Amino acid sequence: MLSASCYFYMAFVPIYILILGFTIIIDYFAGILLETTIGNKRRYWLIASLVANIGVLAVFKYYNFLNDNLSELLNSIGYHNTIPSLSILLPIGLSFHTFQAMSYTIEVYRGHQKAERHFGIYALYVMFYPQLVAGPIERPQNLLHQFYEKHEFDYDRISEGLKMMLWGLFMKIVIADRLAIYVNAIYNNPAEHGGKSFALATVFFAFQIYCDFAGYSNIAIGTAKVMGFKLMTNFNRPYFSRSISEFWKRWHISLSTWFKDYLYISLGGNRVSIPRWYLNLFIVFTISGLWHGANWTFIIWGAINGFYLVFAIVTENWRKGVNHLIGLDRFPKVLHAVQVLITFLLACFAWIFFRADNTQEAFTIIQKISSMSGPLFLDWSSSIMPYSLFGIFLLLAVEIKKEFYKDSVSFINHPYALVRYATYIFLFLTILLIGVFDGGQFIYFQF
Amino acid sequence: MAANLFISNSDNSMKMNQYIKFFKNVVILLAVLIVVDQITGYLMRRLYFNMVAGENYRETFTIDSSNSDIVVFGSSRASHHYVPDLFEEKFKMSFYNAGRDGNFFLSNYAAFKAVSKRYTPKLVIFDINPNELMYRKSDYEGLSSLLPYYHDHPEIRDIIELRSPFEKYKMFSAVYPFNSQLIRIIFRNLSKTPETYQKGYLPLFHKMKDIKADNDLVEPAGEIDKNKIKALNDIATYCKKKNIKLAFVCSPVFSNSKEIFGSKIIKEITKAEQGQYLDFSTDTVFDNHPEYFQDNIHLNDEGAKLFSTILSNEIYKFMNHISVDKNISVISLKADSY
Repeated sequence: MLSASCYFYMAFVPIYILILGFTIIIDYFAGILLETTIGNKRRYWLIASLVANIGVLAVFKYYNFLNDNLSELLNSIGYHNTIPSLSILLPIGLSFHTFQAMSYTIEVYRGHQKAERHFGIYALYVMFYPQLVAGPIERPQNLLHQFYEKHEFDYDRISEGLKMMLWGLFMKIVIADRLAIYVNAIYNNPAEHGGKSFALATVFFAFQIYCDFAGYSNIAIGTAKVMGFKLMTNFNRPYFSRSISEFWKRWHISLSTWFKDYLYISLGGNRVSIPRWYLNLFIVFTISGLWHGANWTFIIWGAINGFYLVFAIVTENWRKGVNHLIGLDRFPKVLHAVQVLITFLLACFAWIFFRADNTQEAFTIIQKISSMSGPLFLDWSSSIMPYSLFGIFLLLAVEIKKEFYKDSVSFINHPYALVRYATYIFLFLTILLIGVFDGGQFIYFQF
Repeated sequence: MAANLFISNSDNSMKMNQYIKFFKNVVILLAVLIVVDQITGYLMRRLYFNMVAGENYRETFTIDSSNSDIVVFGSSRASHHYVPDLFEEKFKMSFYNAGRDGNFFLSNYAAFKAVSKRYTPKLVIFDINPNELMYRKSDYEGLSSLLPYYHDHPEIRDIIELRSPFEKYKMFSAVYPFNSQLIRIIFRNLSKTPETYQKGYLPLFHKMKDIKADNDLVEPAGEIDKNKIKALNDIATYCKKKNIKLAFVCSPVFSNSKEIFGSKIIKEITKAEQGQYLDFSTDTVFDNHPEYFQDNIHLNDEGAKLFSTILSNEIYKFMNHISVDKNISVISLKADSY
């Protein structure tokens, strides 16, 4: 399994296995030392491990960003920055495996996890190939012990895993990559398109990034399941959230809980003064934005989500009052729908920053959307639109069923084999017929 | 002891049953999938080649049926720029415009190979934006339009297989060659309106409104694509061997203050031979004349007619060994030097 994981990682940029090896060695020994030493020394070993991990992240992911910003800052006060930029490729999935490695040493430090003595097992914990490059970011308590267990052949489990992989593949190839064609056509040519096109492209991007990332997670979790491993759920139909707070409990769950467990709680969580609590939320989400990429657009995206959360807390009573005043609370289903819609629109607004190339462009796009200027670009000739709408329709149908009709039987798990097989064939055939085979990498591989 | 043995045997038997059940179901699923794929692919194929109009039909016509003396290959800048009647009048030869929107040099090269396998045209024109010689991922993706011809045209397989190392395996599927074509195929089969553009020329009738002095031909991106240089070489070699007159032409753009980057490359690699290709990208007749354009890189019908008249005259002089204003040549390119 470790060899397979090494091969998988080296299929991208082989030499970067050395970086991974470096942090694995440090964290492996740090884990043992954290367990065997006492007193302040434990803290030093933890710091050493965190510095090594964050250091690698800082050099490969943030160095040029920091250097560029330093240059701009110095230029603005009349100085010239002579520190050269680095010309390096970002190791694939760096943020994911670094965070997974950090969760190990922190858990050992906290005494929640025994240090792993078997080097190969520890290396596999960091490098387990289904989730190495784009998560879910696992915890040692959930994953490490599974490498010691014997995994028997289990028909139902394998079948379940394969179904998850098939659905993940469908989400990526049929929905995400199809939507990406329209989104890229609009976002890559901001001067050529108006507000209506950007509004549609932004909604499409919301579905694209969901299907791209949740699709990958399904494939990863499904692959692990086939081999007998249980990875944590990473997405839980986030666009049915009734608030941004709920959204973050359903979106990229492994990262949200990582930040909650290791940063938010370390900062004091909500057991502090109210202004500090708000600040904690804001800090955590801003750093979460930075985790996604070395660009101000990601930082602002994170900060916007932090602001949403603080705003939601501050205005909670006021919003309840408004709902009562206009009588919306007497119609719970309508209220539910309105809340879901507002949450989706808020998420879409933040996605503008996530997708735009730079902040200037993001603000221009917002300006265009707010004025709804220009015609709506609808390229019917290339069939992007009908395929895209079909994909979104199918996704919503599946997600509505899972969200609101949990007890009813789905086609893919139907007791009649004929229905199940027809569903598999339909999904395969749809992938072949309207999937995009030149769609490229998963978006989150770059993080 | 006997009880343990019994439990153990029972466990093994259950496991074995699970294995058998799993592999049986996988085999059934694969078998059904293959059958459905082949049936659907067969139907798609029938419907695809049953189309009587549209760009897929024109592609099929180019590859399977065209027999004109003069053929022009290229992208939308070919399909909208070369007026067949004007060439036919000048040369007293038949002309077919095989230009196709969104299809660039590698696709054009494949179409040329398919055509030249069937017959020998007298004159072949390649409308080429010299920056097409740079590596562009989208050019390889664009080869997907040739997938329906993969099985019947072995001469273009090597070009299609440049898309990815897995392309030949993907082609085991009968549906895959028609990927993303479903709606187009259905609509074209429902609407039996015959092809309006019999000789491949697709006129544009609007005049440029949003006048901007920049265009996307000027700035190159990436590195020289060796596959494309090899294709240039192959075309030149083949035409020389078969005595086909060959012209590379960069048709006009609205405004282009400097020479297109890739032009220098073509000039450089043709230097060792006899000349240059015909570059209209900085031609003053068209430069900054919005009345001849629909947008920055596409001539309207009026512009296309003017361009076709000028170009046909130039090529006519060349073919009759009259000294030409713009030097068109049968070129031989050196791929190794790039």
